[in-house]
Amino acid sequence: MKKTLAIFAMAALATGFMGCDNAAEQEKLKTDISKVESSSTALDSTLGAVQQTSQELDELLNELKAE
Amino acid sequence: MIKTGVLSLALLLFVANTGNAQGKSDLKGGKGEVKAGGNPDQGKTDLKGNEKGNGKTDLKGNGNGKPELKGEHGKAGEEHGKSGEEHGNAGNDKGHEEGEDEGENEGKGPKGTPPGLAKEHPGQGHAYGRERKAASMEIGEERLKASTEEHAEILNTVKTEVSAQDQKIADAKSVIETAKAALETLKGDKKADPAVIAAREALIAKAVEKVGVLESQVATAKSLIQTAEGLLKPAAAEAPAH
Repeated sequence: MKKTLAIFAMAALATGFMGCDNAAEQEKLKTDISKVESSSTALDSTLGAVQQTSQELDELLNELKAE
Repeated sequence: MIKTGVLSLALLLFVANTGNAQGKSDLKGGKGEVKAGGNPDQGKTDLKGNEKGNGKTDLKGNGNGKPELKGEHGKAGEEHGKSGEEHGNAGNDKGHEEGEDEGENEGKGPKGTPPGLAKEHPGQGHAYGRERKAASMEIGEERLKASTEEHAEILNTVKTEVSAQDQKIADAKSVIETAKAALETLKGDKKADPAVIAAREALIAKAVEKVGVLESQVATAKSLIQTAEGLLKPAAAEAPAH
């Protein structure tokens, strides 16, 4: 009886550990998604800023060339 | 008893490992027979040797990637919506003892199980949770894949733009140098209008400032590109494994 109980306890622990693994995997997935999406947002935002500055510089250079 | 314990442990571990097992429990009671399904890789294994000697435990894998867990035993009529593995274990301990009992129970399902699901799939509580986790992981993986693809696209666009802007900065500096030389020439001309000279100086100053801003933004973009490439490398390394 004690052995059976011990075995059940071990099984429950093992199942618990597996649950933890699953949660850890999910958390890692969330972190990865967050990193990639943040990086994409930062790149996109910087791209927009660069393009705007470039356009403004073009206008200034055109004025300089005209004179 | 030890055999029962070992069998129960194997069943528990096996059910926990199946991940997306359906955990279907028919709860029809009857002949003291426990059918526990599971790992599709296992094929078919029959395990006999119950201490009571009048029962049979079948461990079957249906090989179609969706393991089924069926627990049929005499105690079923008294159970309400417990998980498949619990019934499987109960079958070992009680099913054979009370194998002659007849009873059919659709089960209410544990807390958190949708009502419809509980009725259609009695005893699917834990399996439902596992399916939801598995589905959540699948959704997460798909989202990560989509995000990574989009990220790669943006990264390529930014790289192309940065390369173009590097060239533009060099050209702009050249234009500014030419304008500065022309301004010096103008300043040497005594007839030149001071207002024109001042306006040209202001324009050159603006252009120089703008080039500085653009250089700074391009440097930021290059730094972000490095970070982004670092994020994409592990994904690219994992891709062949899947």
